[in-house]
Amino acid sequence: MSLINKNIPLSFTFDGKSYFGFEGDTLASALIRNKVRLVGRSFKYHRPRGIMGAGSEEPNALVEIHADGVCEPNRRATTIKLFDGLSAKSQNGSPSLGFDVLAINDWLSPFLSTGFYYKTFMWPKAFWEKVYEPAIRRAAGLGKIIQKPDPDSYDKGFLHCDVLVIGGGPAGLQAALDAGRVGKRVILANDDFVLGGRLLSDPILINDKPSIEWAQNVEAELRSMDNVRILERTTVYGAYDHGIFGALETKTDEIGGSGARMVLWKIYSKASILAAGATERPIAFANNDRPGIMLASAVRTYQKRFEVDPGVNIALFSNNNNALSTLHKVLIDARENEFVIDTQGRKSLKSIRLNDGRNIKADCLAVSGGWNPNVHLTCHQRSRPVWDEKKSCFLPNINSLPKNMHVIGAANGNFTMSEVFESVRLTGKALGHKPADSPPTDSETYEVTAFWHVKGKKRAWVDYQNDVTAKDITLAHQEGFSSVEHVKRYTTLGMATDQGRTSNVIGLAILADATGQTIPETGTTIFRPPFTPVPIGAFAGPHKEQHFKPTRLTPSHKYAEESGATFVETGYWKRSQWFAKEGEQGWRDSVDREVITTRGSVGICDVSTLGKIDIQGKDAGAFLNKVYVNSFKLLKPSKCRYGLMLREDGIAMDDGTSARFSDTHYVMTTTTANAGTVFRHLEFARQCLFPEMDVHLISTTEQWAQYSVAGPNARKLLQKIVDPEHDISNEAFPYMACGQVTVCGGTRARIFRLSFSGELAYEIAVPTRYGDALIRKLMNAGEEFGVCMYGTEALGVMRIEKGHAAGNELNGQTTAGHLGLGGFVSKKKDCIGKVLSQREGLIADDALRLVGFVAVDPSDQITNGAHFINIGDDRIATNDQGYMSSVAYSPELGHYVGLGFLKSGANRKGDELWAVDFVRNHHIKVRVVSPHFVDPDGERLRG
Amino acid sequence: MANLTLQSPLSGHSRKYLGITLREMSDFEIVSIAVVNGEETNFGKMFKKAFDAAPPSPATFSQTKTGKVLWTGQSQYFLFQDGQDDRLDEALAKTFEGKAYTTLQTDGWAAVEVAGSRVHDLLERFIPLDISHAKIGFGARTTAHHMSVLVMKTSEDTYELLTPRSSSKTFLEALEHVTGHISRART
Repeated sequence: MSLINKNIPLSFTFDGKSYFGFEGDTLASALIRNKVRLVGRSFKYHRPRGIMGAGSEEPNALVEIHADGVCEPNRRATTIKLFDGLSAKSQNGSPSLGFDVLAINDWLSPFLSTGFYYKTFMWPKAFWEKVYEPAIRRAAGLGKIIQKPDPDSYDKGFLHCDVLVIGGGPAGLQAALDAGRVGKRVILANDDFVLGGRLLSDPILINDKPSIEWAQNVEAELRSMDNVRILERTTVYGAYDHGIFGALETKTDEIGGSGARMVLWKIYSKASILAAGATERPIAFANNDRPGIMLASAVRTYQKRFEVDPGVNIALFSNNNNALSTLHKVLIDARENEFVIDTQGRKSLKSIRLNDGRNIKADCLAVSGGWNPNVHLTCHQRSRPVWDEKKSCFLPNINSLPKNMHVIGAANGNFTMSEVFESVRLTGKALGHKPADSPPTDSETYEVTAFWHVKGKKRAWVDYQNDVTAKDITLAHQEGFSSVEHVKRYTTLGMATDQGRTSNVIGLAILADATGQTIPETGTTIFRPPFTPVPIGAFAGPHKEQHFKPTRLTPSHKYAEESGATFVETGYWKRSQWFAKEGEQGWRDSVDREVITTRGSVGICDVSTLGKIDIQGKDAGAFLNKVYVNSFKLLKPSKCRYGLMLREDGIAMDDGTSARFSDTHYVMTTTTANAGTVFRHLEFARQCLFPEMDVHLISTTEQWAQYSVAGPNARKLLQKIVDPEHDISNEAFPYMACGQVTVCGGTRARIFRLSFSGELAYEIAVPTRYGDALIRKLMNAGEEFGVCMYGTEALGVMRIEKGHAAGNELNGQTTAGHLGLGGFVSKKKDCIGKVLSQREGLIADDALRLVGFVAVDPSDQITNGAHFINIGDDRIATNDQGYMSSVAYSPELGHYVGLGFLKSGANRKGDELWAVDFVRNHHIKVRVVSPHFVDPDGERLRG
Repeated sequence: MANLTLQSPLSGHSRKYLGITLREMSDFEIVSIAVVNGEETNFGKMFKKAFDAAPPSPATFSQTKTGKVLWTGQSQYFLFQDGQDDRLDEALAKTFEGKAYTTLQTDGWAAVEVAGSRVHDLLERFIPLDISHAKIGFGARTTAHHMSVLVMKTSEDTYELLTPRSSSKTFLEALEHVTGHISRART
């Protein structure tokens, strides 16, 4: 029963040379099929390396996949499913894989021992960043990132199940079948593209049938169940709280195709069954990294599953009986004190030397140092595995597994098939799955004799990917690193992309030997997610380019686009910043025109982005009294009031106006930036601080399209829009009035007599469905007054001219007192933040106070962010008197004006100071003035 | 002066994919209903009288003769009513005779109906909730692609998704982006 379809040949290239493989191959098996032995260069010494494993544990065969001028580096050839047209390249060889000049590092290895750069590159100090580190980085490393956009798409998704089975080997298959048969919602995640796990490499009899046939029958039954979902090529990479797992599904290895290349799943499970199998470990001996030296299980995988022979003369070096099924010509049995002490053949293994003096010709050496259960996911919530002396491996700690996790099969140290099925049966029983009796299988035993390292003078590799040798570990210990965590970081053992899958336990054993401790006394490092590498693109998912974040559009967006608006992002909103007209040379021309037009006649600004919160309830007024510093409970219906809100620590949080429409109904407005924060704050206050109040909140920000109509002709314009039965004259509808009206022949609207610009102004709101139509009506109606749209820049200029605080002033450091609004704080009531706003430092006599500034020389430009220094004082931080928070050129006044915070500012009108701006190296003299530059008495807005 | 013409958030967008149909829903009103503290029992009676149905329990919506009602929070509901009436909140306030506060919400939301045999293939990449196994009548508020969304399951393969109007174009782009992956899914 072949798993390779030789009727479907697939062409691919490796380092530019063309080869053929078959459907069912991995890149690794296809390379072996084509007798390619040398596939990469090692990280540090640039040693020639070949394929060592057959799965995700592979430390050597890392390649780049290329397409369309981009590449994906550091992909394990053993996990790349071969596809037609695959272009793969080797890594870390220069100028070529066969002739790598940096292989000289191998000859210089006596000088490149662990931590050599800490010891060697001590001086001159400045050379580290500029010379040494760049040189080391160039010489070391793996694949190269081509700095181009990733052409692929990735998805993220959410799956839910009763039982997540991790691993599609015999244990996982049987566990999924048991759970599926009793109707559980099952997800079976298998990192390979074929189900079966070790059965694909170690065929045995199950139920008197070949195990592959058994696996295929189980798969067929699972696929027939609606309640079972099989995720192929899906690696569960992390176990998180509450039964949540992260999993990466690879749809294709092809770059730049259509559809999602990978899907990052968040799996919510009620129970999980870890059946992730085990990873075979090598044995450390001299020159054990040559191409042709492989894990014994990998050799069997290539022989049985892929039907290719990794070598002609295969020798087997093992310390256990499991590896004996590997087809071999020579056995070196460590249990019989037979050891490999050295190997020959630089780019391909040629021979091996044994401790008995024999020199054996071999082009492939299959090595087995025993098996390590894949316990990683059991440890992602800080569980530590426990050492099993008999099996010479770490097992999951069943007393501290992630909640509702069960471990079965080889992942649990059940290395024989009868043990595997028994572990499945017991777990199924515990989960109420009514498991079937364990099927009869070939009798197997697993006997291992702990053996880790053939000691000698030459280098024996432990961590192949990071080029860490046994000597490095013993040297680290000699230099005082006895903790396994310290040794890991000093030597980089287990810190490569394979996370030490093949190296950690050997490293621990060598360290234990050096320290004279046992392996459990030496302990383990901590396994953390991800189990295998996850591309950053998969973590980002679809959230890139225009999908990176939501874009919020105002109701007038289309009209603004048509009107030449330049947009600015404020939070997620796109707001019109200014509207350029033909002939204008720059943004200042546009903004000045908008300000002049508004102050001279009428301008319209979309203020729909301001947060709007409808507050209803019998206690709505009392509630507002709690959240604002000033009183709202006694505000009369049809009236608005400015309000200032504090955080609990007394710092100003937000400001805005609230309108009262009825005894039980207020409408609060917030700044655009703080709309969400304020709503959360109010909900917290409502639900947690004042649950006894009858208060109900709902955001109406999106419900209403709201436009500010400002300028001396604002009323005249609006009288053309507001239906005549509603009187909006100054007498009937004075400053700070509000009401519900109709516009344009019966359309429902809200109107507020508010002014941020300081002009006669209104805000008119209609249901957003009419927002586009209303702005067009308003602009048409305003033509006779020369109306203009104005954007956030003009809005900013006018509010600075008027002395209104905004985001620059409500900057998380200022109190009501700093803002000059101390008088607003009601003495008759309590409010959130009131007590802490009275802290000594915040109300000191010399506390900062918002004041206005003009340049002493009117032609000077004031700059935002400048700090104030008294004339005659040194320009140093200790003499800081405050800072400029907002600056604008005032077209009305013909010079720059600024707002800023100055110590004792209220008492320093007329003082001259230095405004020192070290960022722009621009220092000018400024004079302290009132912050109200335009219409200080408010005659215009009340007009 | 002529009345203002209305505009739907997604301009009536409708598109078919293999196994998935996306369609903007319009011609209905949404009113938020918040029950006055302590008036839950009276409100329940009035609601039943008005809509011939009990207010829905958490994570569900109820069908009414003229639309449906979704539970949105403790003593809070969204009422969906077919047809256009931008003063429905005022009418409902009268219906509930001071036992509930009402707020028009129609304009705050864009609604998309997602339906078809592959709808769950799409929504499992979009909605974090376990909706494929939820019963018809399931309704909840959640997030999708960093945006707020209300989900209602109206049949085994039909869902109504509501998302804030201002970001609804991004929402639709995201939905179609993922839909494109599904319809061209590589197997």
